Amino acid sequence: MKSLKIIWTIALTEMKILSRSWFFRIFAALSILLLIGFDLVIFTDITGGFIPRTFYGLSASIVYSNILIFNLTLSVITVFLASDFLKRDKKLDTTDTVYIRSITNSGYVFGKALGIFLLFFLLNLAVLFISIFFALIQSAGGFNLGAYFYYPLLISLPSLLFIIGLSFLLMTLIKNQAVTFILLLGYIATIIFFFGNDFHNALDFSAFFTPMTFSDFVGFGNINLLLAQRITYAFLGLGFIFLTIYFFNRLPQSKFVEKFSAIIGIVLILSSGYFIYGYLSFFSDEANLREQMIELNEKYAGSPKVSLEECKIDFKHEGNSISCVTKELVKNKTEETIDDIIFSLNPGLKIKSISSNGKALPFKREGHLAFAAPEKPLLPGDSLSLTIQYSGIVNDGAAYLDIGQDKRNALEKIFIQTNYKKFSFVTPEYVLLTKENLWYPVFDVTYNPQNQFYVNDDFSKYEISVTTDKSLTAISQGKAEGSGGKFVFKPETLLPGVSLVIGKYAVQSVTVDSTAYSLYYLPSHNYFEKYFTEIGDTLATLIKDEMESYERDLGLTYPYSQLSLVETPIHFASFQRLWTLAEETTQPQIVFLPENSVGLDDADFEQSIKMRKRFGNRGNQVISPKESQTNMFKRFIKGTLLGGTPSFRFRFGSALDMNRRPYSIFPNFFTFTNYLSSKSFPIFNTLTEYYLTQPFERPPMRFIRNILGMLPEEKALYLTKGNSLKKIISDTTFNDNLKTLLKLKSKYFFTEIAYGPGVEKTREFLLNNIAANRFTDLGFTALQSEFKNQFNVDLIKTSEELMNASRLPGFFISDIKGYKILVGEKEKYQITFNITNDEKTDGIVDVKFTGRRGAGSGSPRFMRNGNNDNTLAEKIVKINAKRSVEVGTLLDDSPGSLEVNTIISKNLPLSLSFPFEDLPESKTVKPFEGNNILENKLSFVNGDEIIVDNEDSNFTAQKSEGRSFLKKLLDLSTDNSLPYKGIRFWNPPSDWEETIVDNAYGKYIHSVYFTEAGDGGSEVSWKTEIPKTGYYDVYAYVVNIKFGFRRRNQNKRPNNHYFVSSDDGEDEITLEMENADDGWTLLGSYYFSQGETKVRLTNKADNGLIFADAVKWVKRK
Amino acid sequence: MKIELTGISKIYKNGNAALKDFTLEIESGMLGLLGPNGAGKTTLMKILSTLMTPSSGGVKVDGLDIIKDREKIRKMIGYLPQDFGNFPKLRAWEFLDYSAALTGIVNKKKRRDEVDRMLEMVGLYKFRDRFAKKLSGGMKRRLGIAQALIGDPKIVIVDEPTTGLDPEERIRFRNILSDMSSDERIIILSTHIVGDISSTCGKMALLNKGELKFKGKPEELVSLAKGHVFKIKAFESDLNEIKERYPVISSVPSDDGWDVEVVADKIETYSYEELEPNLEHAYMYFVEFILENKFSAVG
Repeated sequence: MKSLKIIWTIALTEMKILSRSWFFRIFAALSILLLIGFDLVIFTDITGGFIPRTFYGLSASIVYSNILIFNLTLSVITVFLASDFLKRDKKLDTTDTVYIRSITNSGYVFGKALGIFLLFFLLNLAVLFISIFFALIQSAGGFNLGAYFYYPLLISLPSLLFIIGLSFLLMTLIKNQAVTFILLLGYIATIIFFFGNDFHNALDFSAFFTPMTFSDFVGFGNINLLLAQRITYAFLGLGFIFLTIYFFNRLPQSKFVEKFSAIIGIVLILSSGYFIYGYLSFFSDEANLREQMIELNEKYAGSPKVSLEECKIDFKHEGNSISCVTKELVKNKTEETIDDIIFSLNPGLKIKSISSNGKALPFKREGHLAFAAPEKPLLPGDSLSLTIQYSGIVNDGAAYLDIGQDKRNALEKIFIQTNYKKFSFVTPEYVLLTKENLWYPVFDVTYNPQNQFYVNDDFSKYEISVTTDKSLTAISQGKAEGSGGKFVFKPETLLPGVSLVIGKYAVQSVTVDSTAYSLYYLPSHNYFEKYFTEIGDTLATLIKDEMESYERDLGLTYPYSQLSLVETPIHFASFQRLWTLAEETTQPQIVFLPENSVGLDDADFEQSIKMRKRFGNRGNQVISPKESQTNMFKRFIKGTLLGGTPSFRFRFGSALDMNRRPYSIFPNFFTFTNYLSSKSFPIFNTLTEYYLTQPFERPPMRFIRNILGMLPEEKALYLTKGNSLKKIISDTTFNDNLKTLLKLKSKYFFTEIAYGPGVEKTREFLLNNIAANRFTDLGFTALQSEFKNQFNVDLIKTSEELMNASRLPGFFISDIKGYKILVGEKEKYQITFNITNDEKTDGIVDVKFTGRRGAGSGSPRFMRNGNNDNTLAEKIVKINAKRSVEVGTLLDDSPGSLEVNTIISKNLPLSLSFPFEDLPESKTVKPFEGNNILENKLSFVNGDEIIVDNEDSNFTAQKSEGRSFLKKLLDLSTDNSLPYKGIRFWNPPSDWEETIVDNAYGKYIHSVYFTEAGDGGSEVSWKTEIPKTGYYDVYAYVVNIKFGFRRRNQNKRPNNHYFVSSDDGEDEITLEMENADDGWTLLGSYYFSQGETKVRLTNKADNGLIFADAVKWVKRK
Repeated sequence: MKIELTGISKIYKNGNAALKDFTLEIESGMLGLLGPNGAGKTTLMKILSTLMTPSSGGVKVDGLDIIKDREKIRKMIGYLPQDFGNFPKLRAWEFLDYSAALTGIVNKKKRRDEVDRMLEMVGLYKFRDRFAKKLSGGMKRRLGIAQALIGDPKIVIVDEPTTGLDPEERIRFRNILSDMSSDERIIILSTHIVGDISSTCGKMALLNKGELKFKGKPEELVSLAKGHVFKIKAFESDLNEIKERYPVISSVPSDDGWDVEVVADKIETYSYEELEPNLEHAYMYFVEFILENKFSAVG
């Protein structure tokens, strides 16, 4: 007791001394102030900025973020203070007067450690109060009292113990504060900046990367895992403190205590090893499980499978486990006899029995696969009814066999919070299961990499009855009947699979045209209702309008009588699959939205209102609250459900992954209702998905190219390096870019087959076939004969070309002319241009004319509603190898631009855009609509011109030797595997780099070299051979590059310094770029003798970027 | 109270032997440890104050072994180290309060009283709220003795406490020490300043090169020097030669030259008078003649 009091005194004295140190005081004050500043900026609108809901949307967001940030600064400062403790002891001779006192070394070290610890815990307390304050102001996420205990205990406590222990021990052993500092700070920096979330966060002592989001549905994603990781560091820290006692540089009072401390220290460190081993085993066990499942799938992929006709699931929710009895009707639709009925079931679920018509069937289990032997083999066409009884705990690790470890373990940051990814939930209060979890028997093997595009094509009749706790609500496909913990679902259509959600949900429903639209959410998460006070009575009409407009754009109708939006725990994650646009977040009739709409830009109504207030009243239009709410509601539906741009969370999660539409209801129109299987052309179904969603595609925003350098499609095509699709599909390492490539190939495939029948008719015919064959696998072969009959189009031939083609065409466009002409009484617009394919393989392009933007289009992107598709005309042009085609189009409206999409070609950009000025009137030009193949192929360069482009071998860019280390470090983010870089105007390269610019000069590749302004020490040069002595005009190609959102003063373009070598020596020409027009600009006329000459451009300029494109010499006549 | 040191040696890692087979019995009262720099005083003090273990030999405090019974012995000790002045950021009273708590006075009220008593005693009560760092050198030393005496230790070990103090502070400090002297307490004072011993200690021990050279009362040491202390009347021109020939204690200018006090066996050449030796003379004589083996060792 007395010694405890002495320890306490030491702790208090240590606290007193530390709290009097200016270093500590300044740090503490600064970090608290910074945190308050951070909170003010991030969690309140004090700065007038727009704070996405995502930042604070969860009930524990604010406290989690605050503790996390503070903990990081604490770690660093603790190192200073903790190692200072022994230094101080060493330096202070007064320490001897303490050392001779009758206290044990353990008492002394504990006292010191406790002092530091307490002081920081008090600081943490301050952080908690700050968090509470801001959480009360910004209450969008609700107030989560528990979080104020969990986070300090889970984040701060172990980190502090660990850092204190480590500092103590190192200082005791090394006895040199400077060395200890460097080691510890180096350690912290290495862990945070280098390792980050590697090794499943096993090294993440500060919990900065460790997933710790808290869901109001289920709490932490995996509390055992989290505890194991945190206990590891707490124990390590304590262990180090005990070892410090052993190594402490003072004569011990008791040998026993000293040795005992060493033993405890070692035991603690060993136990931490045990915990981290368990922690890591969790991941490796899961990975092994998936590997084993894939192996099994590969092994049995060839075995004939039965088709599931009917399935009745009797589901019992029993705390953390489930218990089911399923009754199936299966049929042998193959032409082989089936001896063993194979099905997949989550490996965590144990099968009790399988019976048929009351007779038990023998069965065996191999991993997730089960093999049941019917009494007699199932002959082709035979049916069999089965009853399967199973129960257990659903293994979350069994999902997503197709997703590699990297993607699976990729950090998912929600602002600075890290989210735990989970794919299934079964807790006493919550259940979420999808087909991916194999929670009921799936009569097939699942994913295997040999057949990445294979999908089980069963459409079956389901019935689900659910028994759960009385307070919970169940949601599944079909209308829920029953209450009080018993529910029955009888979906009225066949389905490819079913999902089940059980939770404490509140629901709001509206029925429109006999379709029931429901929104399920946690009662405490109703943040949205207050934004829609005015439109309650028009909600049905609004939904109807939006749905009808979507159906019109898509050309297909919604096939079910239900659509439910269901709020799900923040941990519920989905991945993009290779073979489909659908993600597990969308199920038949159900969309799983993230908890509290975190990550959904379009559900951030608070922000929406603020934006409208700031930007909405530009045209002096007064918007009524009702109108405003209507717009907001429409925007939510369009943006989130109808295939709008991906949400904030995903944009930040995976770099600008514009292809993801996780909450789109599109799969309900095709993916869940149709299937077009093909053994020879397995990607066809996927290509069709892309084709169907084309109307919702939007051209990428300019800044995307500025950032990425190459658009994803261009990158994907570039990376194929001339390999055929067939080869690429068999190479799983290409998967990341394969999806993008498929999108491109889809465009190509359907453009190719639409060449004869036309774009409109092709689409209509395909849509009719889809609508007529719902809930069944039509198959590619059947569809292809339909096409053959209707249009005499050979899909098989096109598919083979698509799979095997490796050569690319290349196009250049010339002589674009446009006139306003009179055709009869009517004013029309005649456009003609030539397009040449100068390569050895035939090509096809999609030509589109877009209209001029009407008034009011100046509003920011985020406020625009609806499809801004203003296509005036679209046609497909085929240009065979080494041919030129004259294309003529007669338009009713004045065109804004000509867009030529070369789809798959050597061109960069793949899509060319040519804007039109106001067209001049002409009385002589005759109307011409059609394609005219020219007799002679046009050449890109006029005979009397010598042009050197930056793509040519006569162009050289000087590579500077030294680059600052910092620059290199900052440049790590750019993808060096690609030749064309983004124009990183925030961090321009000091070397010359190449980038793609729409309006740059080039036969196929519209590229320029660019670099940051400098002292003139670095240059590019265009060299050529002058064929004939004489006067030449020398031109440089000037490109105007507009930046998306640069500040005006930065947009100033520097003057360019060209140096032209001629017989008169070298002449410097300064081009004023500020007012320069695009295109060829005369540098001057010079006399050249036959032989080599060159033009140079240096990086000399005050600021900004220098661009180098092309130079030409034109002989004067 | 009795401390028995038996055959203590301390050999440092660098091979330096700070103490060689050192045997000494210390009884209650105040013992002055005198010796030149590097004699091993501080090593001895550190061993006695449990900060260091001897390489061989043993120390017993009232029958308790200083290694085995370290915990009990530490409870008996008050210690003022040699360089005492670097404090953590604590006020004078807080420092004493911390020391008091470490001696085991856990009752707050009792501790405060004790702290106040000590502050009064060392004359620092007025400065109780001043940061220890900000005290003057003498005050720091007084605070040091206060913390050494807090909790009424049976053994007080004071290492070179008066070094660097001005004469006034030095006397003040000696007085505090004398006041603390009692029959139930051993006070060990190490010093190289003879005055510290003569004014406070009843007993003294003389160390040189890690060995005990003398133990006894200061008077006994003085009597050894009888007949060996002289005052030479010297001319200015002789001064240097005298300094070369004899250990000089002091040289004071007089009317007709210099009065130079020296220790020596006998004086030749110069006119001199014999002086009654004091402790300082005796120490000089002892160090210069007996330890340098100019005579056979005594005592």
